[in-house]
Amino acid sequence: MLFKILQYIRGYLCIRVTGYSAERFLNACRYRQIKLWDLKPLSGAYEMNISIRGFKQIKPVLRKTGTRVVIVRRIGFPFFLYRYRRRKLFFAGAGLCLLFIFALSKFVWNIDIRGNLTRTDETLIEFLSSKDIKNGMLISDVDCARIVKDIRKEYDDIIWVSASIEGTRLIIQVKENEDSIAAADDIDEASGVKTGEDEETEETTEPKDIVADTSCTITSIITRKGVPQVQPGAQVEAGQLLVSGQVPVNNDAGEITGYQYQESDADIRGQAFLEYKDTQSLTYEQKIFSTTEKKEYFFRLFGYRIWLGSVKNDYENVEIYSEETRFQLSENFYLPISYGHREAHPYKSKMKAYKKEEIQRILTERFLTYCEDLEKKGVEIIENDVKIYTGSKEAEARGTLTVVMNIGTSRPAQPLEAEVLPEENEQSGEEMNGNDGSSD
Amino acid sequence: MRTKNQEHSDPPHAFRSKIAEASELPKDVVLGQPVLTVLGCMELNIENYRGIIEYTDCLIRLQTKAGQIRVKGKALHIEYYTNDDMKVTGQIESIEYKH
Repeated sequence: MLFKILQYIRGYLCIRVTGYSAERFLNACRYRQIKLWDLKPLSGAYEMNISIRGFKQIKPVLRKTGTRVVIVRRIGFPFFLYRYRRRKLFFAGAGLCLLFIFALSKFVWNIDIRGNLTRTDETLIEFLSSKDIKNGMLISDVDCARIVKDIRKEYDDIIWVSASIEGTRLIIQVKENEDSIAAADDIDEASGVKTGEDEETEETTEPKDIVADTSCTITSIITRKGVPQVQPGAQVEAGQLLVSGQVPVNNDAGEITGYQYQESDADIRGQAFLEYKDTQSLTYEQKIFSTTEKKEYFFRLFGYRIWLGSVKNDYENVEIYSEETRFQLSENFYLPISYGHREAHPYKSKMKAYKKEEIQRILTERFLTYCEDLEKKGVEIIENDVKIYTGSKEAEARGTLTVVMNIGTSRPAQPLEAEVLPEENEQSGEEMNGNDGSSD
Repeated sequence: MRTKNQEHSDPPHAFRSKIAEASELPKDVVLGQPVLTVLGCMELNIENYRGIIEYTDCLIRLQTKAGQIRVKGKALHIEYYTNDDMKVTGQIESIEYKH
């Protein structure tokens, strides 16, 4: 195949050799290293292909062997050019095409971002365009080192960046800090409630209390850090202190000499009441679409729109759908050219009433979804007295849910007054030594 | 005449053959013997030939150091023809040697 392409580019001739001893011609050609191929015997003659260079060398061979040669066909690119030599515009076009490709290869046509997990391509591309790095810019204007610096400066969680130009593509490879991603996931999973992972960050001297976020009856309390202030069975109000983050340090006489500050950590569950209310209108609007519709096709170029047809109409109620597709050169290089269509569907509006069963079904479904959401959050539903009340205009589902749920939110503790010496107050981790010292 | 010729040509031939064997050089190089590579009955590659004597679509006669080689067949076609080797395609029916 490659051989054939090369032959075509160089150009070759199909010749017919006639004479008394055409075989002698073949052997003489071979002797002079003139390449022949595709030999075909004809009656008293041979047809074969020969390169242009070879053809120029066969004159002495012909004289010597007494054969005659006729050119049957000229094949190849040089002959093609010669045949169309008068078509100046064609050559101008071909030249322009080459020039155009050369010019286009000077621009960035695609920005490829790899390795980003937490940030989308769009975010990074938007950031880059704010730094004047965008599709369609000159490759010579791209400063890869600058891009790397900018990205590192802007995003703290990106720990490694590489920018390179490959052809007309700007490739940006980033490596994100996977530890910070994992930490973010942990917080999500815990949904704000403290878990064991917090122990790792125990070197915080800032004391934190846990207070009740709703009024409830405490059913269980397991304290890991801090001093519990309530017992199971206790009634608490919203905002009441449940676990104190300031652990008192007593001396032998039972007097408080100082406080050990901690970030309180506890699993507290309490029984609380949740109000539920949901309303649903008894009527709804039904749209009756007519069979007529209007369509409009458009083509948009730099904000200018050319359209075919129109969606203009005198109908009272109309729904208009629009669909637009932008042309793109590469996966994220959009051109300011788009096309699309708009459809107008006129309709008549009619008020309809729900049936009783339908109302019940809608409200029940919504209530069940609400319950499911609660259960996902770890809320246990003990009792519910939600009922559906139907009025003249709307139906209402309301009632109270008795639930057992996690109670408590973290809050910075109010520093308690300690009747201790200031230097002992400063000691946070090694209060036992301080204790010994005072007892001595 | 023929026997005399044989007497003249055989000893050096045998001598060369022995040298080729002793030096472990390929015989086609040392003796200039033709190398024929046949693929099924449709392709034939010939190296070390001297020239074409006759070529029609049912017979190709070649001159080589080992004498004439006649390739008979149907629709024989010389794909290429260079100083080193040539390739014949078509339906090959027989390959004969003639001394």
